[in-house]
Amino acid sequence: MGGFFFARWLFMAINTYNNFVILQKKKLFTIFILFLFAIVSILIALGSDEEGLSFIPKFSSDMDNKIFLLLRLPRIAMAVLVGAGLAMSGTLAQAILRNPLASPFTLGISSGASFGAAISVFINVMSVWWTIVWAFVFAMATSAIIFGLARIKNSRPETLILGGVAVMFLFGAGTSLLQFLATEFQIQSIVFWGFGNLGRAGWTEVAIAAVCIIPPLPFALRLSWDLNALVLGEETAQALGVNYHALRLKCIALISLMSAAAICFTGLIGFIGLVSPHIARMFLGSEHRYLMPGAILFGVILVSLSDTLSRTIWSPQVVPIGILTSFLGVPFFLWILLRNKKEYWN
Amino acid sequence: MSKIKNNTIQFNDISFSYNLYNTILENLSFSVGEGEIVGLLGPNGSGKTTIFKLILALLKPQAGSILIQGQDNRLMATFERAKKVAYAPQDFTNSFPTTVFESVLMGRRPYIGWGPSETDIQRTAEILESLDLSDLAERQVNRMSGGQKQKVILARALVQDTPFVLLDEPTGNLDLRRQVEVLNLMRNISQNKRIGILIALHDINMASYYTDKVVLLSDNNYLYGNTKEIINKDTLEKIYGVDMNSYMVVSESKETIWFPKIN
Repeated sequence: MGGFFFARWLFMAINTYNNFVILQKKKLFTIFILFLFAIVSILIALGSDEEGLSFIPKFSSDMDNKIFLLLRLPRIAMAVLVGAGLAMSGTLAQAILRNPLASPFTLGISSGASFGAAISVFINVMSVWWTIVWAFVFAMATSAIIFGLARIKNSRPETLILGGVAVMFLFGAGTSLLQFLATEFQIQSIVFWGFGNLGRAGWTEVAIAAVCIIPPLPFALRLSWDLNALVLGEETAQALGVNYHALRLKCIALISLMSAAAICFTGLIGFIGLVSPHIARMFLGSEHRYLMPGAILFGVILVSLSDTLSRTIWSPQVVPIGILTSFLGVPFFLWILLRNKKEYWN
Repeated sequence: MSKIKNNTIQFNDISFSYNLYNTILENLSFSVGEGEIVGLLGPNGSGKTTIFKLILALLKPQAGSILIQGQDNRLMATFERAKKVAYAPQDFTNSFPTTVFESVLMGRRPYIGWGPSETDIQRTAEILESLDLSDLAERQVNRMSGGQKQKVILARALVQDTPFVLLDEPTGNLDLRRQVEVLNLMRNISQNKRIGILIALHDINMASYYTDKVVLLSDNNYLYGNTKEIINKDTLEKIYGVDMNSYMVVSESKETIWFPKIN
């Protein structure tokens, strides 16, 4: 009798084991499919111009070649970087703050950047580069405040979220004040900066953004299992040997660098950081080893498709991409939200 | 498990307070030995959860030391400590949904580098089957009943393969049958695998039936010793501040049942 029970026990255990391994392989396959989708959306973005959607870019004249190499290619490269950076920042923010509403925007980083950009316009800096520098510096200053709050050992995730939202209002008020005092032309520049725009990107900008966004990605991926443990609760994670406070500081540093770099070159491209991790979670679950690559790929897909749309929908006008990401992302997000009866956060 | 000298968790004269005016623990000394079940009893706010947090080094005592197998717990590397002591909290507090398998596999965190090894997945599958959770392996934990969640928390603590397990009111959300199931399971594990268990309980009768020793906590004071000696009318009335009745069960086990006097 004992032998029978043991055999049954072993059979069930092996069964569970295999199911789990198969599920992991399925997730890998999903990521592969997403990767193909990302490639396709990048190709569409590269091929399409004011005349319509296409996979193949035109190289009929010298002018075409120049436009492609010096304008379109860096623009799409920036789209990919921004999509990846914002999506990863959002994933990290939601993980360490243990909150589905968290994103680089709710941490106040984007409002800081806007305020910095507004100052640069207000004091009439002579080059675009100074606007970028001002935006970056203020984004990092905002992060420093959040970082300081996180340094206080007992601060709860809620403290960081409320702190971020408070800082957001503070910088929002600052930007409004500058708009109130500014000339008409300056107001226009400030508002336009806020729309988000990939057209400002040249190869130098892309190179700098790449240096800020690409190296943090593998760092973040290495934190997967600590973040997985943190999903279960702060105390549980600590009981499992995770150094929660160090983890939190590391993540805030990574979020700041990636989102500040993304925002200062392109302005406010909303919604990507919030929604990419959620969409990825619906397809891949909460395990960060799969969730993170999935979120990055969704970020890339959303930004490059939005950019294609922004250039073609009302051509030859280019609609600011920050407007389109929400117009494109929200219906899609609501659709899968309503289609799936399962809950994706607690 | 290899023979380890001094295979205990030992509290040496621990004093702890959250602020200057309110001392929670004063000169507390007790130990949890190999294969022993030690119960933590006391009114709400008497320091049961504090004791767990002290062992996990989430809190720092004002005085005294805690030794895990002879090593000071605050000097151990975090993953080393997590390989010695597992902790099962009262509740599930997931921020995002995870499946039963993932939630339990997370207990292998101290052993996992980039991804779980075959052993990690295998141990998880084994524990799930031992706790009758195999059929639920791919279900979302936040959609399960209180009793099932409690089992998942236990499974996670057990998959950590530690010589000591801390259980914070594992029977809090459970009906009577599940309470007995869980406590029987813990007793089997402590006897068969020689695991030392520190368990916070509210139910005096369950505690007197299942534990070998108890720590009875009250304001700034405590009693520690064999369960049969410590749990009696005087001590219970003193600790909980209610009058107690006791009844002897008329059967071969001759258990004593405790019940507060109700006016």
